[in-house]
Parts: sequence; C-alpha cells; structure tokens
Amino acid sequence: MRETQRAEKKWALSQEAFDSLLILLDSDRELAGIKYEKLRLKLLKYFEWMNSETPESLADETLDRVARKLYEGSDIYNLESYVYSVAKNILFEFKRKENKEVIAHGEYNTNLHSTPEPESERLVCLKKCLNVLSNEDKEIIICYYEEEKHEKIESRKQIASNLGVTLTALRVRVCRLRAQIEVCLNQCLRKSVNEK
Amino acid sequence: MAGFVTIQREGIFRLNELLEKEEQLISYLLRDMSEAERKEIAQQFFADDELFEQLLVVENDLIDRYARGKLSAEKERLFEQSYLTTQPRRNRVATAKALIQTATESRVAKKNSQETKKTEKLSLLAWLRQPVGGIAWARGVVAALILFAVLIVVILLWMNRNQKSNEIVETPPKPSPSISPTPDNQPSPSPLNEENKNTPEKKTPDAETQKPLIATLLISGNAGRDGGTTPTATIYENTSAVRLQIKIKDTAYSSYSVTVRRASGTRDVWTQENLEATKGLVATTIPSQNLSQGDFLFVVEGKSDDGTKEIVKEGYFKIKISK
Repeated sequence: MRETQRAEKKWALSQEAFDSLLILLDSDRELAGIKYEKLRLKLLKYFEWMNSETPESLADETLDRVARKLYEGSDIYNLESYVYSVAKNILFEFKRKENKEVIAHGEYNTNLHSTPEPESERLVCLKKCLNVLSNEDKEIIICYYEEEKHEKIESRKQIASNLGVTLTALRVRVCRLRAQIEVCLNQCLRKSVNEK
Repeated sequence: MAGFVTIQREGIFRLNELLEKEEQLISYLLRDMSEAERKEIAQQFFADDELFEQLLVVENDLIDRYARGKLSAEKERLFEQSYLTTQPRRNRVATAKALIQTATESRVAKKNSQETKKTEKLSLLAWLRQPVGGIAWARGVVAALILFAVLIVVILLWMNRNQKSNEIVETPPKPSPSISPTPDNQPSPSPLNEENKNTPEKKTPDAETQKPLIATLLISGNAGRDGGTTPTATIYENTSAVRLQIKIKDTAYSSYSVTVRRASGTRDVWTQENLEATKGLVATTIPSQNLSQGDFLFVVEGKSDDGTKEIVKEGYFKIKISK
C-alpha cells in the first residue's frame, strides 16, 4: 500500500534507499525493522500533536526524505535529531500549503461538528476487539476502565500487584493495549461502513 | 534512619518531578505552552524513547479523564479547543467512553452474577429449585425434611409422656423385629428421674410379638410394697434378664452391692457385689430364671474403704410373667 503511494510521488523510495536507512538504524535487520516502526510512530504522533489532519502521509514523507538523503550520500550523525528537523520542515511546508487553501482554525471547527460513527456500532466493534485480546489482557483492560474514584485506584493497584509491575508500567501496558484495540476498532468500523 | 529519610525525600522529590513533568506534557498536548517550549519537548521525545512513551500514556490518561468528565473546567476547555480538533482524536474519545461503558457493564454483570449466586446459596428454597438434582430430587429432600420434623415431634411427645415412667427397656444388642418397648417395659429417656412413679400396666396390640430380651426397671424413688406404686417389670418368654437400675443419693462409697430376695422368703435370689455408682445409679442384671411372678425385696449396700457396709437403699419391685 505504502509502496504504491510512494510510487506516485516525485521521488520514489527505492529498496536501496530504504535499506540504507535500516542499516543506519541497526545492523541487525530485525531490530532495524522495530526501530523503524518506532521512529515512524514518533513521527506520526508528532504530526498528530501538531494538529495535522494527515499525520500518516507526513510521517512517510519524512522517512522517504531521510532515506533519500542517506542514499545520496549525506552523513547523518544524529538520526533522531535529523529526522526531527526534516519533520519540522515538512510540517512547515504543509501548513503553508494548507493556509493557502483554507484557514486551519476554521477547518478544525468544521471537523468538530462532523458526524461520528454510531455509538452502537462502536460498542459492537469494541466487544469484538476485546475478544481478540488474550484473557489476561482483556481482564486488565476491563479492570483498568471499570469503577470510579478510590475504587478505581485500588483496582489498578491490585492489577499492578497481580502482574508484579508498578503502576507506571501498568499504564504503559494499558496504553499499548489501547493502541492495539484502536487499530482493531478502526478496521472493524471501516469494514462495517463498507458493508453498508 | 537518616538513610531512610534521605530515600524518602528523594522519593518525594522524584514524585514531584514526575508530576511536574506530567503537567508539562499535558500542557504540550493541550498546546498550553509557548511554541519554543513545544519544540523543545518534541526534540526531546525524538531522542528519548522513555519520554515518548510517557507522552503516549499521559495522552491516554487525558482522553480517559475527559471521557469520564474528570478534567478541571480549564483543562476541559483547552482539551475541546486545542486537542479535540481532528476526527481521529474525537474517535479516540468515543472509544474511551465505549471502553468505560463496556468495562463497567461487564463488571456490574459479574457482580450481579456473584450476588445471585450468594443469594441462591442462602435461600434453601432457591437451592432446592436449582436444577442440579432435578425436581424429583428437590421434592424428595422436602419430603425427607417434613418426615424428619414429624419424627422429632413424635419423639418429643413420647419423651414427655414417659418422663413419669420409671420403667425402661433396653433394646437388645442384635436388632430383632420381635424386640421393642411395651407399655410395661417402656424405654425412658431420663433414667435420672427423682420421682419413682409407676405407670399402670398397658398393652399395645403388638405387645405380644414385640418382646424385649432384657427388661430394665428403673427405681428412682421410694419403692414401697403398695400394689399401685411398686415398680413392675414384665418377663416374656424370651426375656433373658431383668436389669435393675436403682437410683441412690449417697454415692460416696467405694463400691456397692445389690441383694434381691422374694418378699415372702428369706433366701436371696440374687446378689452382686463390687458395683459402681454411675451417675447416681447402681445397676445389676438378674437372669430371668432367678425371678418368678410376685414381689421382690432389694437391698443396696455401700462399702467403705475400711470394709464397713451400710444399707444405702432398700425397697420392693414386682415381677409379672407374661406369655
């Protein structure tokens, strides 16, 4: 999918350029893949937190440009810092282009009133996605999100204690599970929209 | 101690630092800081995986707190103005709300299920209604309980009626359909009766077929020779012995002896020595062949440690022979 999108751009990401980025990330190809995904997630969140409407395409554009620079022989000593500066430039370009078309603030306000998916569909999909999780993960999510106030804190302490982890570690685990659920949920909702 | 205080201080300092950092990250997410500060944080999380993960967690919590309505008015306003600006983010809030709803419903259902189980355990009728053993089983249990209750009532009534009787019948060691209490030899649940009242002789329809092997006669009061009050034991064909249980007041003797002779004669028909008083009773078992119909005199003697003997109790009992 991404390869197709890239082919449409002015400069297409070649396998060699992509490999040079992976090598810079790690000499072990498997670890390099993991680091690549982590870097992509950082970019995605960066653009999202900068209120970009298309964080995925901007993240991919950033990685493509970095790979191209590497392939062209540029020396990059601090990859993260370099990636961040490229991302900043891309965001700047994007904002400038966007401002020409529509005032960003107005667009956001319009989006605020767009129609969300029906809650019933979300609940149905959520239940399906929870059932995909392991029993332990499902129990963690249920316990984490149930109850209120004091009970909630106690409940979370209890889960953390049962798992033998700190509350912070539990929050991280829940955060990852949430991300997993959201991916599943979005797929499920898209599927239900397509079926209609 | 000083080390502990230092560690505690360091802990508090670290906690404060974390909370401060968390507030800073919330400000980053809500765009509640200068662009320069935001750039600095962005640069930091690109280089620091831990900080990036922390940002993800803080964002998650922020969404949850908003979904639960737990943000301060100011933060809620910022959240709606600065954060809730894209559809994916609004979807995330909707997902958080759905998660809270689902989790709470799931927990409530689980709790209700547990409560129901508890209530069912406490309720006998509900327990009987459980399909585990089937309806027939439940009805059987109810019937058994009713029967048991009826049996208890019958026993209590019977015990009450026999409190006045001093005659009891011991059931034989081997159960036999021909051995059971008769009106003459009715079992008494309380052999410690103070009053020696003799019940008039009565016969049940099956008295002839249900004969005791050992007739027991409890003599608890003054056993006079009056026909109406003399304790009486009935000997049937297969009664092998009569057990005399004589209630005594003085139980301080080291041993006791019981001597029985016919009221009209001088020869002893039965003597037993070295008996012990148990629960205020001295008991001896007289073979049936030593007894015949008529009145008998009994004498209980107490023997002290120095060998001296004293009469502790004496009285009469009656033997009836029945075929």
